[in-house]
Amino acid sequence: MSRGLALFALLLLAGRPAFAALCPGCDIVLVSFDALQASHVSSLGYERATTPTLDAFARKGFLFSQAVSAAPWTVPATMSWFTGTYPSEHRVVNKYSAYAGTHSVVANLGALSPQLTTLASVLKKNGYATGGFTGDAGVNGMFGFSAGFDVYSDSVPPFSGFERSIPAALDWVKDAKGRKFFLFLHGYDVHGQHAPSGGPDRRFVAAGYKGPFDGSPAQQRDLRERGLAGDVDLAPADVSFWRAIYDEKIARADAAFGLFVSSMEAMGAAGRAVFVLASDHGTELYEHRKFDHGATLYDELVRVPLVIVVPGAKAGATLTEQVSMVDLMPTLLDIVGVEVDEALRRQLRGRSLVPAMKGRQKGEDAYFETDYRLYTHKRGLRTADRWKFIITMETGRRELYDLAKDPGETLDLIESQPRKAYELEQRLFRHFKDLGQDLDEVDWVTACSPVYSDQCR
Amino acid sequence: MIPTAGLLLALGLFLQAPAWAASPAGVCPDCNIVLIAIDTLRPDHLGCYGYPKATSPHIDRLAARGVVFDDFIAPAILTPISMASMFTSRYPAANGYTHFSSVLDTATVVLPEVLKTHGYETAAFLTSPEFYKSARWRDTHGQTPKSVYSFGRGFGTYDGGTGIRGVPGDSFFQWLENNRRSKFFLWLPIGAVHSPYGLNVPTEIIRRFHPQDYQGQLGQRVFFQWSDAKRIYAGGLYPEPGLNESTAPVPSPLTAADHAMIIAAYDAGVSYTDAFIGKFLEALQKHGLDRKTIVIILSEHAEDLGEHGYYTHYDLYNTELKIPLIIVAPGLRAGRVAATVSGVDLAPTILEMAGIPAFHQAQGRSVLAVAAGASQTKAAPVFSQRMPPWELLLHDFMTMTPVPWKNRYQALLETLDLEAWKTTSTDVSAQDGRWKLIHRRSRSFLARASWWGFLTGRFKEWPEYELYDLKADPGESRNLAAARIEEAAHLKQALAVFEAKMDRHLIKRPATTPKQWIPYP
Repeated sequence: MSRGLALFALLLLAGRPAFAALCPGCDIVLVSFDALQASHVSSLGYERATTPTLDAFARKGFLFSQAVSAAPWTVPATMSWFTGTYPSEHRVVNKYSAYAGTHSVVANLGALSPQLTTLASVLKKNGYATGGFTGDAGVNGMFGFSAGFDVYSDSVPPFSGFERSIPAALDWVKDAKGRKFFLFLHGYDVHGQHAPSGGPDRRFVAAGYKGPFDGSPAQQRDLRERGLAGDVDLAPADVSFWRAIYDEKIARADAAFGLFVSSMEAMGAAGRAVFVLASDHGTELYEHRKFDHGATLYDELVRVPLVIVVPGAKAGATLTEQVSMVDLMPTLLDIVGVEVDEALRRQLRGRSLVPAMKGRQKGEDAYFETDYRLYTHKRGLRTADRWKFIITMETGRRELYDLAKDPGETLDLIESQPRKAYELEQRLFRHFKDLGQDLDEVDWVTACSPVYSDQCR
Repeated sequence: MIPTAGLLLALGLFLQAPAWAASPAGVCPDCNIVLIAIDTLRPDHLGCYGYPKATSPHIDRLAARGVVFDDFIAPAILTPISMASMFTSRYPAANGYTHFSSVLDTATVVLPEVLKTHGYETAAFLTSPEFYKSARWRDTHGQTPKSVYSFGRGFGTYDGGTGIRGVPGDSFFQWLENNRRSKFFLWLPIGAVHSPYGLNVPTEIIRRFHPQDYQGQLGQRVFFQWSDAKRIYAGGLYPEPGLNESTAPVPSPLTAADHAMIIAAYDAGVSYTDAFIGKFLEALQKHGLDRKTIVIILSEHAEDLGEHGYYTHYDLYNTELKIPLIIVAPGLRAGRVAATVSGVDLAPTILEMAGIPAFHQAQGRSVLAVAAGASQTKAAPVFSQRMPPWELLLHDFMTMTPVPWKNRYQALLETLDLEAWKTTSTDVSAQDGRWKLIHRRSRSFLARASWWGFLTGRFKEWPEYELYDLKADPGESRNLAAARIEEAAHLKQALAVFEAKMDRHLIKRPATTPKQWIPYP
């Protein structure tokens, strides 16, 4: 920076107060609506009234309409939240880091990437009481999610929802009494493997639906596996059915969350709480002839809702500039004024979104990746100006989509826009090279590494 | 506060380097790019590299206003192998073009295709048979040369019309005129210097270098044929290896006149090529293109002219690896670069000049900053591969044009596992400008089947490593490996890493495809 500009900046700063944290020492409530697709959120443009509570929060705070996950399924995506790094770095990219039948090794952050510190650990070190209340499965503590939590609850039936995690969370908050707390609240309510209590009430299902499906986890699992083996072929009425079931689950989760908020307010525990409402990834609902999540990098998986409510901060903005979920950790630390030391600064790959909330930040490119079950290896980039580039490493297949004109990613422009494709490919590989991974030197082998217990037999 | 700030802002902007300054030197996205690859050209036979004879007045004049690289190293010693390495910016084992019958995977990124994608009109005018595509040869040998599938990629025009071992002719100059208003990338692989030296060179040019009639023992008078080159080793001219020969052959000494004739014929080819360069530069000027055209002159590999006992490109010595590189570009100030640069650095450099990001598969890096005067921070070693083993190429030619006397060597080679040797990364070298380390991974092969061993009846044992101090011994005649290998520990380590990488890439590739005919004269 030239002397002249430095002098100018100094003088400008001299007349201003020091930059202050938005909500120093505030509580943090981080809520993961596992598997909630961004475009099924009402305030993000969905036609059904699926998310009244979440929408109310959006009106009170900041709604990020182009928030992008670093991975399309729970384990790597949530670990990216907790470390502010990409899956290639934290390396918790599958259930097993080594799969060999009975001699398998479960992927664990502390074992794979001991140099990384987690959000909960940092907050705990800074005097926070830390509690995590989850639906087990992909956020089980064995992956390293529990590091830094005073209490981490995952001993519930796999794929449990808010019906389990909310009561436990409320009990814990009650006992936290006066201490500042970080609460991670997670539920699988929206997930295909979660059965709502009493079964679906089919509130959004078309009245005359006569198809073969009942919305059960078993049927969803079958569709998931069929989709991995090839494309699924469903009649439009069946697709509508599944989307209706999905939307019902969203609405029920939203309602449960609403009750949670009321309880928090009744306890007087919400007054100084920063709320972050998000999902770790979306859900494929036949947009590309597949179901579930993990194996592709389309927007139905990587675009996630993100709402941040800061007590006292100016409200009601929808921020359309693109952000990445690796920005979450630096953002939370910035909001509550926790100091980031040199080592942590070097760890965090994202940036604080506080300037965005103050209206002063440009959108950024977002990167994501998957090695889901070693069934596939994909890497992708969503540019700040809405281009999507995806490469399937084991086949070399490239895809290019102009999201502004084709948000459904139906028209692959890879042949017709070679210059754009070339430019984005170089950016994508550069990103990984900067993380220390030369994608050109990796042997892209596909194999079977199970996530669910009935796989890879 | 505000007025003061405003004043200071103005002051700040004034003191800062102007944001509107010209783009980095040599970057010219609107410029044409001409890549002239003069096969077999040694830099030290050009005036601008210090040659005392007047072989290259036009190239010298061009070099005087360009950047001349004094230590540019070929990635391989054989023409298409080296060129493929340059176009892909990957070493041979890593790009898959490891043999004359190889075909580059369509997924492999090549420079001409990248330039074409980015709007350049692309054309190649070939006078080197290794890149050939010609119906004439299909008629004669029933096969279409496959080079076009690798080297033709990305070229809108791929023209071999003027004949081999010459210089581009009328069709080239016509194309230049027709396309003078387009932004173009031209590739001119010129075969006029490659042996047979002086083959198609006009007599008046030959006479300039060899005024007297040669009366020596070599078969030709004005040009130097392969049939002679393959019989010369270590100062002796050996008899044709006979069909039933069992006694050690007796060579006749190569005389000073013989050597002078060979050099003269070589220089005549250089001069003939230089005359074409002169014509080309004139044409550029005539069409008003000289100020908006980047001109790059290099060779795919150089040539041993007796220093290591033979007159061809056979091994990893710098006589064969050190090649010229001259870059002339608008805004790039004339100068010389001492740093060691690799042929795999060429494509990233050209792309930077074109304002295009380099492709990630590139194993080299742009040296444009170095060309513009920045000093290279660390001399990373530069590698070269002796791939395919030269002897196996010879075997392929023998197989395709059987002549009785060749059978003995062919039979010898066929006692070895030729397919294995074809898909093995054999000898490799690493150099950093001071030290040069060669790793003889094929020494067991050479000990039994080296051509020179067969020719002279004396096979020799090869040391595993050859280490040369290029400053004290640029001719690479004193192998210091036994005494001073520790001084090259960094090269040994770098070579080990390089070899492991190359071996891994080779394992992933299928065996070489069926042979193809190269229309050598």
